[in-house]
Amino acid sequence: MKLKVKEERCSGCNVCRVVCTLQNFGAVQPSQALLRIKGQFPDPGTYRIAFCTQCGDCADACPEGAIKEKNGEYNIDYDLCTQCLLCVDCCPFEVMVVTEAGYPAKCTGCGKCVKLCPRQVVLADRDARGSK
Amino acid sequence: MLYGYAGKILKIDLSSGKHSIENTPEKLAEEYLGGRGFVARLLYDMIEPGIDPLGPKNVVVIATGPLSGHLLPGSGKTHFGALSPATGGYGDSNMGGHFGPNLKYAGYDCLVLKGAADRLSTLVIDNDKIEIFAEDKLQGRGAIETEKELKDRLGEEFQILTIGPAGENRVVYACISHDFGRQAGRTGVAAVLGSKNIKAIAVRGSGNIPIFDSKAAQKKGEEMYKVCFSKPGFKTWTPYGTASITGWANEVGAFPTRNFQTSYADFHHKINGQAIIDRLLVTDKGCFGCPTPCGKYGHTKTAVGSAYVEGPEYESIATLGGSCCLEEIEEVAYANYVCDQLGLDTISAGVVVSFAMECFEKGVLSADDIGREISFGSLKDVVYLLEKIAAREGIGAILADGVKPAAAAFGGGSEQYAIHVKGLEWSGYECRNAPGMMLSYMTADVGAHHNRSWALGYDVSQSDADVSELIEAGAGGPMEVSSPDGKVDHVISMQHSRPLYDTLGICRLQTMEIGFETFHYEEVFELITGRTITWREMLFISERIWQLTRQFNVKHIEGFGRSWDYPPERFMKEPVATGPNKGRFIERNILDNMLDEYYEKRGWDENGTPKAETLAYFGLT
Amino acid sequence: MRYRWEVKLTDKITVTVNITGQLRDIYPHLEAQQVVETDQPVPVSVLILQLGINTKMVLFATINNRIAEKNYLVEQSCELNLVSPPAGG
Repeated sequence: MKLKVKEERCSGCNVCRVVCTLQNFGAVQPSQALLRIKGQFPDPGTYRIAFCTQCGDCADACPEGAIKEKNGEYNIDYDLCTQCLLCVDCCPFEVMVVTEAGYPAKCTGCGKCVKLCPRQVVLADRDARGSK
Repeated sequence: MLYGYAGKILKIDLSSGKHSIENTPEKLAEEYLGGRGFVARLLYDMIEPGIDPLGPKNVVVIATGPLSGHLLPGSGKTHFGALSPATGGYGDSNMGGHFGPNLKYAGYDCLVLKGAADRLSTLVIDNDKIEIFAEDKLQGRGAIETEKELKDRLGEEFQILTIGPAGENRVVYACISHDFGRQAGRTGVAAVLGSKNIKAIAVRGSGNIPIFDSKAAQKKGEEMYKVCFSKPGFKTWTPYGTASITGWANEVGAFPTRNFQTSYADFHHKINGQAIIDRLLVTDKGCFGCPTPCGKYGHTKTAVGSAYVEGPEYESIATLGGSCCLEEIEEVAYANYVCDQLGLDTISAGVVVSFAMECFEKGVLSADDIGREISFGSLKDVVYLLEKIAAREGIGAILADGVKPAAAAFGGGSEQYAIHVKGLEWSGYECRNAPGMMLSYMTADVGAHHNRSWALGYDVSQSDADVSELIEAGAGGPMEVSSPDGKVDHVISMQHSRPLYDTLGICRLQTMEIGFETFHYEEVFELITGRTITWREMLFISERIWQLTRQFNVKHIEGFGRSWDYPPERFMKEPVATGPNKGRFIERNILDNMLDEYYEKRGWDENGTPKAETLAYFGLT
Repeated sequence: MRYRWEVKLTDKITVTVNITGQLRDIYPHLEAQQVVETDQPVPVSVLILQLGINTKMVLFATINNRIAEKNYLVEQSCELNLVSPPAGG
């Protein structure tokens, strides 16, 4: 599932980030979430959200071809990954993380954030093409 | 293994700068759950009678609950406590935001602070790295601007608590601030932090919390959110938040106005939830894990100043709007901002300021005493007094200790309208025709606070309504007299159920406002912790905590007893001046009878001291 | 907004009423949701009274997520939500 966001609705609850790590890593550990929320306080008092737009920069950076595209979405093939972590460095939104085992991780398009966001901030983008 | 908990308690001796990390005792978790339970038990065990609340022997406890930080609605609450400088007894305060979950991700259920740093400092907890930095440059800086500076310095991932100049100057109702708009407001825990020279506490938590059955807990947590979304109240609660009480409180004559001289403000429609939406609102701002963000973050512009501010909540509308008579929402919001920046509890500050205004009006204080003439309804005067209080300057030096000692100092009969119980100022409900709510305020463990037991609904629901008048959909008609019968049982029951949320580390508003059922918490508690416990068993723990905090007051307040449980004379002697409860006041013998019944049902003697067998029953000997 | 003179007197209507918050505590005889049969025309305020609820304990009512004034006449099969005053804050 590709994502889009309506930042102006965000209340900063972080439910998306909590369910993200439970779904993808089996742990409640929002510091490892594959999207980020930044509050802009005290002025102007809104939230910005950084998320994977499936831009493909990580795939371009990977020297092993371990990040593969299918239907416009990119996922890591861990059989090929050599843990060089170049992909993490080059993510333009800084939404890739390094797991405790030392592997890179990126948004898997699982859509749990979309399902649980109480404010309909994070949404499925049915018309998306990969973009920065 | 304590599933669901972080598993450790971080204790810091600020005098030596040393810290120790202990396992969270399983027995403590079993008998007290967490949050308010940990605060009450640790304070009881760690503080000796006779210490100075503003001295190094006082202890600050900051505790999360077993459900904090997990995937479930409202999992962001943190509880704070210390020996209160306002009352000399048990003091605690609850706060939303994001601090508690991150303390758990850092590996700690609870933070305990003893001693005092020798200079103004910031405590930084970066997972397992604990550091104390001297912060001379932050002296006197506002709580909000300090958080901004520390966020910029440390990074977005840090969650930060700050105190303002009021805390540094040990104003006994100074508040702890967090996340640009959340506070641990009541009982002066921030003054205790100020006395320990702690300007700020920052935590980054990069870890996780062990869960007994994480797949099932995830599934249950997701279901809980979906249940919230399906509640009819889900969409209606969020837009207005707590401010939606304003109109209703006026309609039923419970809105404190003019230092509680009366209980109706004819300008209330200019300071209600709709006014916030129309004139201030930028964002619905929420706490960690919350599906129903009730924080209203907005921008206010007044002749005195402009600011971004979260709020005002109902309580701030009642005390700054009603009690001080600020008639426009922009002014209430700006006064709220000034309190937030200075680091003052809006409830106590509003009541203290309105007390000073009445003292001037009655000639008990002169313009020379205050430094100028003041009047109800003037934002300039409110701001002037708040600044004097935060700096402990001039009249502020006396007002900074609260209305109880201020009235003793001013004399002139002002004790009659110093609106407090046990030294903590009254919050936003005027109760001369609400005996259940009156009892709630009288018997709350920390002093005059509404959040333990909100019995006002029971008081109001008794007043008979005439069918014919209702067809006209009128409001503001006179209220029938509310009887004290049956109220004691409701008060006692709520004193267990409402603080239970503070003990679990979650918000109660999903249950209280949109009808989210408590059995969901039982189920998710078992999946997260592996422990089977019913809501009823948890209520028993909450009742144990209630007995413990009463016993804490017996232990620490010299001469503590029945006389500490009475409200100010105003409520027993002066009829309400205007509005739906015009003419009402409460007879002392009604309060005597309710207290007798309350003590008996609590297992306390006639002086309100828990009997030995009561303490034994709850395992408190 | 339907006025009384616009409504023809007919047989009884059935309305679903949801209650939440303090109303559940103060009125334990009521369910979270009940179907109520009543005569037309019936304003929201009278329907509330028929349930045994003091109208002062209803902060506002909504029908289809829109606020319904207390003199609004309810219709057959509508779903009425009664919102109690927030229990403190």
